[in-house]
Amino acid sequence: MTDLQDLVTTGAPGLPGGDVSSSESLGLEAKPLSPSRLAWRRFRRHKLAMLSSVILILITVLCVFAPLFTKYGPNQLIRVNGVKFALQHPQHGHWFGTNERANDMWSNVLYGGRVSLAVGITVALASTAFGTVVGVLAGYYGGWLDDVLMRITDLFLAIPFLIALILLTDLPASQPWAQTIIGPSHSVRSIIFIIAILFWMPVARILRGLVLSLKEKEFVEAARAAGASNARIMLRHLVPNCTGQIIINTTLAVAAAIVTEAALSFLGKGVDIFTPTWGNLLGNNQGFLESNPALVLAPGFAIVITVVCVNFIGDGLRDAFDPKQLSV
Amino acid sequence: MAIDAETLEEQPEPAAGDAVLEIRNLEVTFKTEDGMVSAVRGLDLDVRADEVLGIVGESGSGKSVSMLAVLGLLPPTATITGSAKFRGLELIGRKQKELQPIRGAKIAMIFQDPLTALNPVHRVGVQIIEAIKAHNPDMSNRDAYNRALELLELVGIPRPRVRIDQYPHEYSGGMRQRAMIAMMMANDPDVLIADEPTTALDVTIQAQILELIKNVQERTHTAVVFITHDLGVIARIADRVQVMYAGRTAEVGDVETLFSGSKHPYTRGLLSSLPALAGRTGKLQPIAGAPPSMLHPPPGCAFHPRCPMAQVLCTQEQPPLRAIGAPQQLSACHFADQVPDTRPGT
Amino acid sequence: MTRRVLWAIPVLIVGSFLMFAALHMTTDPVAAARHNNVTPDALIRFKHDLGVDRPLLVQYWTAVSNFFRGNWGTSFTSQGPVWPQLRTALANTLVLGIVAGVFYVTIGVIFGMISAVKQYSWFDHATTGLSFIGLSLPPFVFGLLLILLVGAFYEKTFHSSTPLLPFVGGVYSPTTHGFNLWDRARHLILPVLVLSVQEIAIYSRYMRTGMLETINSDYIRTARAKGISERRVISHHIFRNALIPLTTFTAIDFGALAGGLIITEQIFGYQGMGLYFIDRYSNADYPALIPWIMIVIIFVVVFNVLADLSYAWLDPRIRLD
Repeated sequence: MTDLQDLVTTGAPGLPGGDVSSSESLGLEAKPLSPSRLAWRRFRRHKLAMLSSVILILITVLCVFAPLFTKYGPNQLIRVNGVKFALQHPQHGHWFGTNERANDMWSNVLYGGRVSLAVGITVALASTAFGTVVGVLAGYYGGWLDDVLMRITDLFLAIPFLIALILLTDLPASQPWAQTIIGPSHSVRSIIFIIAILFWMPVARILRGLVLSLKEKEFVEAARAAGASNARIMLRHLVPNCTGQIIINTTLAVAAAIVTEAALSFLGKGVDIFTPTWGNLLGNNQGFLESNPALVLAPGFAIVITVVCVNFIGDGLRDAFDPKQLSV
Repeated sequence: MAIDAETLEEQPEPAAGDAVLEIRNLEVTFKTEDGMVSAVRGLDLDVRADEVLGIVGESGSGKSVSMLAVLGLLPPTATITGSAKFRGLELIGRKQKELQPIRGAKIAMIFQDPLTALNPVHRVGVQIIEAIKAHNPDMSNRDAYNRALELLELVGIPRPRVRIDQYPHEYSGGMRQRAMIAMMMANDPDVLIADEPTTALDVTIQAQILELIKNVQERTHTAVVFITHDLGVIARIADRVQVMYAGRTAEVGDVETLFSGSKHPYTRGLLSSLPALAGRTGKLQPIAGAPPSMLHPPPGCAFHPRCPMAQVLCTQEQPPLRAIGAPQQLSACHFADQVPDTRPGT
Repeated sequence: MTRRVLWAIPVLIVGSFLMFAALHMTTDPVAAARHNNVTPDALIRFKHDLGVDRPLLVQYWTAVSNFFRGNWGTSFTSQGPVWPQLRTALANTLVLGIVAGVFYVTIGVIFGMISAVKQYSWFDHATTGLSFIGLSLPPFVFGLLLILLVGAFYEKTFHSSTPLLPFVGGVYSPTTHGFNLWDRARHLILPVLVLSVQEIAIYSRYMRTGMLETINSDYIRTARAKGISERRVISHHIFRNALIPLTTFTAIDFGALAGGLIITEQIFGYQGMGLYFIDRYSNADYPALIPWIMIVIIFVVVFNVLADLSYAWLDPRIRLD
């Protein structure tokens, strides 16, 4: 390695020397930033993504610290002068009104947000993690493993999504073994599990494609030539190059998971009615659309705002990690 | 005046030695999210009839961008000023529609990676015929087809009748580049710009393609602009050479003069980093440092941070392109006269 | 290529089996049959047909062979043959899906193309903004919002006693009898809009990305360098190449139609496949559900195969696989 040092000399032979020092000038390029700092800088430029992050943080704080922002519990029956204070329109003290069981809607939305957000994030993390593992293994090893994994993916994709969800959520009620694995019928845990099982396939596909294209690159060959084991190559070389895609996927999965949970709960097949989520609030209050629209608009608005923000953040991340992606 | 087929036909055929393409003070800047990047900063260049002009430079020297600018093939984020006259007709500032009769018919361009430069979903024959019919709309399909076959044969593609119906991915790399050449020579252009056509190919195939381009040039007397970073290729194919650095010309001259009597420290640096010229005993002498950022080019002469001859003047004033040394030789260096003569191998 | 097509068959079998098994595990057909006051004879026949005490696989096999032979039995819910109601449900869903599909694919593709060709123009920014909002409006939110708008809000503001557009009754108003094109069309408007708002956003973003990738490819530069007209560049090179992923995407999207419109149908009471499933499922109406499952899964698998085939047809690089 030292021979190269000998070979490098400044200046071509036979030319008169100059009197301007060029050592500082040689470092004309600014010190290169690490990829993560570059990504953060690019993310900051995406104004909508930054705004959305702020809004999302606000929403999360409101929901997580709900007791600070409302004095009622979600299922707390409210009486005024001994009478059930049901189906009230938005008013002072009850910004979103009350539902037919005399519960405060503002509280319901806040506490419901806890569940919806928790479901969203957990499902996204779990399914992306699992999908990444499957995709990387399938892409790296190829062969029969790839075939099998891709066939399983095809299979899952052939079954209509909502139907599969509905069937699965009803499983714990009639099958004890399902209850042990998945969780109590229509509990938050079971919903998370079920949505996650059906969410990992697209991630696996994408990661597999990425790994397939990265596998052929020289740095993998170099690592192999240096004696790296397969596991090491996958963990230290391939996965880090996929982080951008992984992060973007996770973010968008959060939005998709929140919507999926809401859809399920809207149909009455999601989380049970005594644990509010934005979805089952929406579904439950459908009937009051004409008489008391706030009951429907409140959870609906919550869902839309959250999903819009997450989508913008996802877009900002896409710009941050791969500006050639040509989005907004 | 507007460009159309008649206007061009009225022009007299250029005689050998006449400038077919005259570029003066070409400047190209790109708007990027980091700021304005100057890719070309005042380029003067002549392309003469029936010659092979080699343009040499490192990445970022602006060699490709300048040619793309002439043909109007740069994205809208590019601002182009200056003049580029093709047989007297100004090309800069023209609308896309006005340039269409020129592209592929008078000035043609082939690109570096023939795999990505050809549309993968159309057959090769179809793409060649498309080029033919774009400028000969009255030609019958049969005639266009036959002409395409002719062209494939001309560039040395075996079994043209079979190959004409195949897709680009069914061709080998070298064949694809031949097909590109066929496509771009279809309408007998006056100028063929070859943008690093051999860089993506194997060394043996490189030689074949170079031969092909040379043959085509000798047969059709088309002016060829050959862009490359490889001095070895230049030695084999160019008549005249233009060396570019950081968006400007460093040196111009005919090929022998440049190799034996270069009057610019950058060209000297390039030559010294060639293994052949370093001789048996020689150590490789790469030029220290890296090409400058075109976002903030160095003041004065852009090469001064890496130049062993740099003086204070070089940090302040951009050196003009001046005649020096052999006839037809120009160098943009304040101290070109101090660059000693040298023969390769010493 | 043929390999991928052949794989469709095991996917079909395993997929339908899984759904059958899930159905079996979540509902008890015998109990449900008793619950529906089916006549003892029908119950015995049913038990015989399904062989309820036989292993699951055998039951599945019987059910599937009955399906393909056309023995679909009697529905518990309607006490009548399964086929006419299933046929109507399928037809209704297909009508809604195709009308909406033509609408949102056309608009989405056009918007996406213009956005790509005129990148960063006001049109591009406007469609991008709207797309983000559209993407975030799932059917259950947007549907309710629309109903509110054309119902209570419209009635209050314009002092009308009927809503601007109908949203009850599903396919027809409850008072219509027989075939009435106008009524049917009016009842389609809201569901189509609800489906379209998200899909237009998806298609236009998808098309935009696909076109931009194509536009910035080297071969587009080559095409321009040949001197062909810009119109031809757009049609023969940009659009032609962007068509490849679009066709596959559309095919898969249509495949998901048969079982996929549950929420929209539920909101508007539209008697399609989704509503059919929900109704029959709560009654564990096996004879009605099994053909439903088979049809839906066949639909998906067939369109997925079509998607693969169209990809190969449009992209010659894949054909040699």
